[in-house]
Amino acid sequence: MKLSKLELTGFRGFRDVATIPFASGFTVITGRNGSGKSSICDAIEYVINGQLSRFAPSDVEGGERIADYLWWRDGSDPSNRRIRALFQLDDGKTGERVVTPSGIKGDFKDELFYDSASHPPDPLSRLCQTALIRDESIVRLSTDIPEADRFELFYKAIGLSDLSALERRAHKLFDRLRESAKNLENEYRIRRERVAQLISEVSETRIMASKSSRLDLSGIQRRFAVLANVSPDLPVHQLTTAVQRVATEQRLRAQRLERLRVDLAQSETWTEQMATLENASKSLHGKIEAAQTSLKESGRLRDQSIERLRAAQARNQILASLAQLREHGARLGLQDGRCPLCGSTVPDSDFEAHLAEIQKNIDQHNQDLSLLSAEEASRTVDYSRSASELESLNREYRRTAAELETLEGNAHLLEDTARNLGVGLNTASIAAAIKDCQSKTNELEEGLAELEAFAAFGRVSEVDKQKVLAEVDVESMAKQIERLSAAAQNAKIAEDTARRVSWEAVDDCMAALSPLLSELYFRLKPHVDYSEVRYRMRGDVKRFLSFAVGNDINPRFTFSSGQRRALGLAFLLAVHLSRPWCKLTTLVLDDPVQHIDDYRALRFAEVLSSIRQMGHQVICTVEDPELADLLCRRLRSTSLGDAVRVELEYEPGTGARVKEVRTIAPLPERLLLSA
Amino acid sequence: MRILEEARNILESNGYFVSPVSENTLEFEDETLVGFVSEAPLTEIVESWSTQQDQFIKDKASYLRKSSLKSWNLYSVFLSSDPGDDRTRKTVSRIEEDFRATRKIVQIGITTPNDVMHALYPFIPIQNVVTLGGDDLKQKLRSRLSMLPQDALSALMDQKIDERSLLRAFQEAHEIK
Repeated sequence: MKLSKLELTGFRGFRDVATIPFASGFTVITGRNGSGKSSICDAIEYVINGQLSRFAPSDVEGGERIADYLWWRDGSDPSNRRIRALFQLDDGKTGERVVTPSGIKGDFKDELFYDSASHPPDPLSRLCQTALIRDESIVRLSTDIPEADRFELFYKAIGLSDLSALERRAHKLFDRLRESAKNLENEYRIRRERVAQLISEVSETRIMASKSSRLDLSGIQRRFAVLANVSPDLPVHQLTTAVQRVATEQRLRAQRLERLRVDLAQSETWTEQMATLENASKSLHGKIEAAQTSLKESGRLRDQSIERLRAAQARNQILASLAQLREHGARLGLQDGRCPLCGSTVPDSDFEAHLAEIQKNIDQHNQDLSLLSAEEASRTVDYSRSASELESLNREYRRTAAELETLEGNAHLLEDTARNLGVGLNTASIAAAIKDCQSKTNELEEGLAELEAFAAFGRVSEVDKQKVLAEVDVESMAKQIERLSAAAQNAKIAEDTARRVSWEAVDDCMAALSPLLSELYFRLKPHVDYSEVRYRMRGDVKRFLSFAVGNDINPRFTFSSGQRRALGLAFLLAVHLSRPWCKLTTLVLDDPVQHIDDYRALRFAEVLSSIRQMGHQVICTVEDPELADLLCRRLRSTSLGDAVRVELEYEPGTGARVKEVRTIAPLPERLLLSA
Repeated sequence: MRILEEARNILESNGYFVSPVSENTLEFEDETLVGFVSEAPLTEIVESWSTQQDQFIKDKASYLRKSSLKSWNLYSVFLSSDPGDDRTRKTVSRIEEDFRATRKIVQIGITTPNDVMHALYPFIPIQNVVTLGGDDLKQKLRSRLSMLPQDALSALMDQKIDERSLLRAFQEAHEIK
């Protein structure tokens, strides 16, 4: 199948309708930067695969993606925008495939592009990746990409059946089985510990039970029925419970008796303390009575002084007015021999004598008032001190009374405790009771051991049964672990084998491809000193594909940019030519000779010519018109495959357009040798 | 190995009309290109390549004028069994990168038919085309895994079977064993 025509409107750089005819032999497209060469390659890819691989879907700038720039953005009717491609099918028919902003239209099925039985996953992407060689893909997908990515390209391009899904499936299965086995093993360990515990318990129970054969059960029952105050006919386990209860009571009684003994020892000091406190209380009582009398007297004296002070203070106002009158009189003096205050006629000497007498009275009153104030303050202090002393004595009396009451209470409590425990309140009686209690406790505990031995005898079979069940459980679990481990091992084998089969197939393919790669490398001759290239495949978990020239030299790190591109072209062309599943025999090259010198460009043209000779259709864009002419001459228009040269140009306002389409006429078949 | 005879065989088998001109030279032509192949010692090639080229053009001038386009595709091929050294390889590169009049191809150190083939690569079709793939890898994988329980293997290979069922198939397969 070959591409015969492309019509595009409003796509990428083309606003108006552009028709690009493709010759069955070769088509050379030339034009300056921006004239639409790459847009045509984009259109070919987009009409086949509905996407442009040179832009990653994640490539977003300012919220915009390549999808926003696929179609011409001038606001015109979107229904006019489309790409229409005509394909010449191998059976001579023509197929049409149309793509618009709303998707791929028409009856042209994807399956026409590839062999449905042998195609790789995502065949249209693989087809475009290996049929469209762009400048950036030469760099990105050839020599400059990491080894693992190069392997990936080759692996996917050759279209081997994809075992990676099976490998992943087996891997996941292995993980799950291994995880299950691990979880089961953890559970198994826990159960095994339980079995060990049960085995130990069985041994202990058996040892205990063996002791029971030497004992007289009925004698023990009778003896302990008395001690526990229960019927001797009770079953052993009920009797054991009763004995346990009584033993606990005896232990508690012993503790309480011990406490009583300690308290009794301390109580000998209490009598002395109480006598001292009683004497202190009596003494305090006397002191309190004296203090009360003293306080009463102090109160009386304080009240008297307050009364006198108040009486003196009552005269204060009169004396203050008198002082003012005297002051006025003294300042005015006699007025025409008359007193300025009363108007009576008095001699100067009498007037002065009166003023002096008034001043004397005022001074005497002030002195008295001062003395009375001092006395009142002193009496008040005395009264407060007496009150404070009385309060202090009262507090001391209350504390003494409280201590006395506590000691008396303790003594009563001791008597009550002794009465409750049924002992006399003396050391000998308490000691005897403690001894008796301990004796009973010992006897009961011994009895308990004997009763437990009898109980163990009955429990042996039960514990033994539990142990057997646990052992069966663990055994079953161990077998399940073995099954899971074996299943996991099988899954691991499947995973490893799937990977190995894939790798072997790829190794075989690369070995088969190697002569073609060598030939293309030789033809392109990137390096004067290295005429051969070899490949290296390595890695077990992940595969790597790299090249070597000369004495194991990696060209990725030694070749110049142009040389790496030439080697990259050799690799991409080798992959292109060796795809068994691809029905489209069109090779599209978008400006592939950048950074390549004239000599190597000529060799590259010869390689394309050789590919043309194989019946492949070649479409190549170049910027340089002279290089376009060279390609037109070297790529050979023959009677078996025509050729066309398309020239593009950029029209301001309308974008790219086809300037000229020129058919390259076949050359005369023979000139020299037939002559 | 007779170099010129080998060159003739290769050219003819790739669709060229070939005509011997002398004991050491032959001419060839197809629809789109014409040229000559000359076998000579390396020293002679270095000395006379230009003369030989010019003489060829001069001899064929009247014919070439009939097709101006074809006259662009003239090839001068010089072959020698002499191995040469670094200095002569440099000379050879210089001759090949001389774009005047004809496309020059100089191949030295020829010892095998492959070396002759390499010299003629620029105008013969790709020789080592291979068709890759075609192996049924799933069948190969199934065969390799034949030691696994068949039910488990079938479940693994059938991608329609969900993971839970696959897990069960692997566990049960072992239980049956």
